[in-house]
Amino acid sequence: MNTVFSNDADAGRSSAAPLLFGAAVIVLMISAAYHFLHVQELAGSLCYELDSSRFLLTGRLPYYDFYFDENPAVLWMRAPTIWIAQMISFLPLGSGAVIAPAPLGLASFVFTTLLQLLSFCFTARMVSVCKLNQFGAAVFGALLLGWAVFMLATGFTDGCLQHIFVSLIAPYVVLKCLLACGLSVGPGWRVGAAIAAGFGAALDPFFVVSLLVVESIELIAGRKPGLEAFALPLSVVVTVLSFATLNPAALRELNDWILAVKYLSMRLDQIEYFGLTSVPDRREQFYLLTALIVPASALVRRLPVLRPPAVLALCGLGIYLTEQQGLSSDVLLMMWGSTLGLFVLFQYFVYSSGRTFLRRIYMLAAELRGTPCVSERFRSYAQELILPVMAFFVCSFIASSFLEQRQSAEDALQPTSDLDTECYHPATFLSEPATFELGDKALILCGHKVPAYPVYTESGRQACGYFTNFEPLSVLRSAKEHRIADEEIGKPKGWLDDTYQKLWTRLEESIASEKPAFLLVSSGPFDAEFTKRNTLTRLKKLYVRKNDTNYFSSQCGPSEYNGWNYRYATYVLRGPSAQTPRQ
Amino acid sequence: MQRLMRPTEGADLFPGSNCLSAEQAHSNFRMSVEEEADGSFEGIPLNGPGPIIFFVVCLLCSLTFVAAGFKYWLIHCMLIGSDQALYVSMAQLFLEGRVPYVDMFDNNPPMAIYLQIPPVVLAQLAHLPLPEGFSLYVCFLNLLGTLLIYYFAWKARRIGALLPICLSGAAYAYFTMNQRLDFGQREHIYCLLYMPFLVLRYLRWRGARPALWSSLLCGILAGLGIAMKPYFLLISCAPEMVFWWRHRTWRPFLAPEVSAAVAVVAVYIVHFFFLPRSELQGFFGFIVPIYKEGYEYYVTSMLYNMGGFWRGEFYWLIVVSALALALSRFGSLAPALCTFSFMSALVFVFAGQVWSYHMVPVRLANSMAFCVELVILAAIVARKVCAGVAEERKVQVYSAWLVRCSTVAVFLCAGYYAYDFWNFIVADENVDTYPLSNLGYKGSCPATDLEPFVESCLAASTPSDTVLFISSAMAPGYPLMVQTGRRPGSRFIHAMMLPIFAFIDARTDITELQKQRFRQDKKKVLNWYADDIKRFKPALIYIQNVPIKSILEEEKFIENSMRDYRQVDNKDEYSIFKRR
Repeated sequence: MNTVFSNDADAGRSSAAPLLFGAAVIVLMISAAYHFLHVQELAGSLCYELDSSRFLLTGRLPYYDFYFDENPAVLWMRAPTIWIAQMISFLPLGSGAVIAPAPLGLASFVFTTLLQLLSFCFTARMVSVCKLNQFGAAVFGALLLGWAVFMLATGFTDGCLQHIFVSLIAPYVVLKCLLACGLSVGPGWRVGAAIAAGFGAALDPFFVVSLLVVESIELIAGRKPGLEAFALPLSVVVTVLSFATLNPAALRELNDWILAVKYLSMRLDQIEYFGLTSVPDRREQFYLLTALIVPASALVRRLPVLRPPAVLALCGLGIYLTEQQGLSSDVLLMMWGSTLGLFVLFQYFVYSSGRTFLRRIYMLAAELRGTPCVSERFRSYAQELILPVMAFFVCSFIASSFLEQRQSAEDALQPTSDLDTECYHPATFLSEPATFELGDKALILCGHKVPAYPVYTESGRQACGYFTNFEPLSVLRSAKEHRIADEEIGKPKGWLDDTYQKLWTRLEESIASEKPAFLLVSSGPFDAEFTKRNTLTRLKKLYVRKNDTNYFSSQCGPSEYNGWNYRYATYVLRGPSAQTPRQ
Repeated sequence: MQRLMRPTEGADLFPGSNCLSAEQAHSNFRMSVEEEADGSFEGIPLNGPGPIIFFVVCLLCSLTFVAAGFKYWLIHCMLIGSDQALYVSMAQLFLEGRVPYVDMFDNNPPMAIYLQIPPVVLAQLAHLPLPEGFSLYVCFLNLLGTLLIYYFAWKARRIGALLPICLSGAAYAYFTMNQRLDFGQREHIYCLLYMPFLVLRYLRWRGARPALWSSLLCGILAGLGIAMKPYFLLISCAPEMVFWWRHRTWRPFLAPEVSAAVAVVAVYIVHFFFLPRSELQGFFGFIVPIYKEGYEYYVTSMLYNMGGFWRGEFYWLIVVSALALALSRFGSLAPALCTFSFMSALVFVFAGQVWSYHMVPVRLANSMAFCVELVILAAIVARKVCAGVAEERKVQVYSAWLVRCSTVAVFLCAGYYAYDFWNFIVADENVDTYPLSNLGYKGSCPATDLEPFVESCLAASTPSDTVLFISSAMAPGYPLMVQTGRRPGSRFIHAMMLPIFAFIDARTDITELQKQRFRQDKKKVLNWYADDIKRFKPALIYIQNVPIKSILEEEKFIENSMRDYRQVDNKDEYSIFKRR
């Protein structure tokens, strides 16, 4: 078949493509080495899922025995990581013991790296069996290089849900790119890509929607769905099956309030995100997306390979806006789509303009000197390779500077009382042997998953009771403040108040029964509610207030959130004498 | 009509020609379908009287929208947004001889002031309240833009672009009808001035050659709009990039409308060389450094800005962009509008505030792009439906159904919107009214359109008095000053600088030497305020309680510079001082 990307006569005559592929492999290795060196830096959302998966493996039911606000398929997907971590830690499989952060990080690294390597090899092989001409091979080489650079640029969000999704859906997207270019791909590749994409999309309902959007846009663009389209029904089936593994009590919890609270959390304007530093400033991702969409809108007619990654990047933006978490791990899909698209664009510009430009310069130089500057063979070779090489170095430089910026995070607990002036890293504080004993439980009460996670994981401590994060309480309070009517969320009158009371009671019971060694209560609404419900007075019999701490980080690091609104009251469980703190 | 098309680009390039024979049209349609693979299918084949009826229906609907806007703003003759009122007031002061950035300070380049001169002149000539003059001016710009777009649509009917341009024209008129808070904001005026230019450029890149007067007019209007803010140039370049990438020729850049726009911008830039030195020093030497260092004072988080109030618009942008990527091969108007929208969104995200007027270009371009995409989707569906029709009749049946359905759809939608808006206006007529005779004009206006301080201001000052608002926000000082016809009692139209100074002083990433410079600037500002109070003797001074009052108290400004004033009230977060 002869297309812009495929030409039987030209097939295999590419010099830039092997170089680009080689560069992708090098970047992949650098990426793996980099992540290995930072194996202990785990993102909050990843720690939350790993901890929840560990609970599941010890027989606790999500939604019923512990709070969880994602698809249960995520817990099963995380299970191999837990098993690997337990093997590394010499713990029996399925043990409920807390896993130290180092083996957990290493396990997550192993799982993620293996998954993305498999996916990358599958995709690279699929591309290589297509009869691509010089231009096509260079474009798809750039696509793979973009993917490798993305892996490097994920930084501490390596292994987060969107990253896993990206690794699973990548063969499907590249397949769509090949098909959009009019190339034919064998049914085996299509089925393989569709299965991976189906399982990947099943991890989150928004991923299913993304898959649907990609299929729809391709259909509107005139590409009829092929064998690979079964990824969509497969993702729905896997999602349904993952819920089917739960027992009715867990499903009842889910249906009674968790879904409604999740919906509310996405619907409400989050006023606590007002301050510039209240969420990571990821505006650069939107700039990258714009840099892709503006030329892609014009060039997609000539370069249909841009369409699937660009659409997926747009879906990523939609997910970021809908999830309302503001975490760096929520922009990965957008980042991936943008990186792929931009690398393809770069390669296109190199071919369409760069080579012409170089040739003209060469000819001008030759004219001025009267003789050719270099041999014809070298000229031709340099013309083919110089720009891809430049692209590789420029992009790697950008990615490494980007990483450096993201990893240079400041992250500490700053005691604000006069008693102590030392700054603590939160995990260090929690793991301080003088203050706490190994195996103690802790409770960090704040309105989001972070910074409670990754602090629990980093300190090797365990969240006590039902709540692994207190987002539901914060969301319900916010709903009451916004005067949301119960009917608006399809619930009977008084549901919001009742649920709010029920959850607080559950929290108080957890504290009373499990007596966590350490309590960090976020100032503002949580502190106020504690006071209002007289919980503090009762807790004072059990706990002593050590000092106030102001948690802060410089937005970029694993713990992300900064904190004018993250000032905490620190409570420590009294010792046996019940008079002094245990230290 | 021959002027519209280059002789080299015949009907085969433009299958929409309604002067073609059925055979020609049929062969073009076949070619269009075949060429889809490489994306050269741009026009939609239209034949018979249907397109003319469609054009008339769209035009009438759009004029109804424009008329509804006129009606609304005539009822609300004192209603005006705060920023808009500020620039109208500055234009008035400018005409009275005050020099920008010397006798009146703001942080925007002067074009924002110059463009408000026509409504001030109109209001003075017709003895209208300034807000009414301003509203009529913006409505007129809307009417002018709408007529220009329909003029181009009419001219474009032979190149198959009638449907998308008519519908985008309807979206353009409808958008302005629905504006309240951002009606007449700089971004809104920019869009009103620029959009006809974008439509013209689309046609130009497709080879059309409309009349010279229309090109020059569009170019001048666009140039005026672009000159208002530097980043408007960036936004305006995005569609041109799309057109260039698709057509790969430089010739359309030499078109008269581009020359006119460039000339306007060039004249505007050159005019800076002729401005008084003090004015340039005031803007570039005083205003710009302060806002450059203190800009982050206004910046809020990305998620709050994008995912809060404007989440719906961003979803809309995603849908429009995804569709533009899918439908790109059917034409360049939707991608051009989509890139305009995306670049505007980029500015919104970069600016880092949730201010609604930054989203005006995004919202307008989204609406227009979506209309264009709807037409293309309808065309695809129509062609699928006609798949079973005999080959020789396919074009006629297809185009006839497409036009009929589009006409009915436009009529129904526009009818519904106009009816809805009419009910809104009627409901507005029943509210309490305020007699304008108190302000020296005839008639009345809804009482809610006036700022709460208007009554107290009128009672405590005469038209010849000045009034001073020391506030970090434009409102309620503006629109009050414009509504009451009072003049500001200081060169500082607002006091946004004062909290910015405090912000700069608290920054840890700049040197003490730099901070020293801004501390001196702050002293200078406070001294100027004191001098102005002595010079203009404002009858009333309104001081914003938070954060301005505490800043002034820190510097003992009220004690030292306002000895002739006593506090008479504390209302709505403002301390009101009256001259003894």
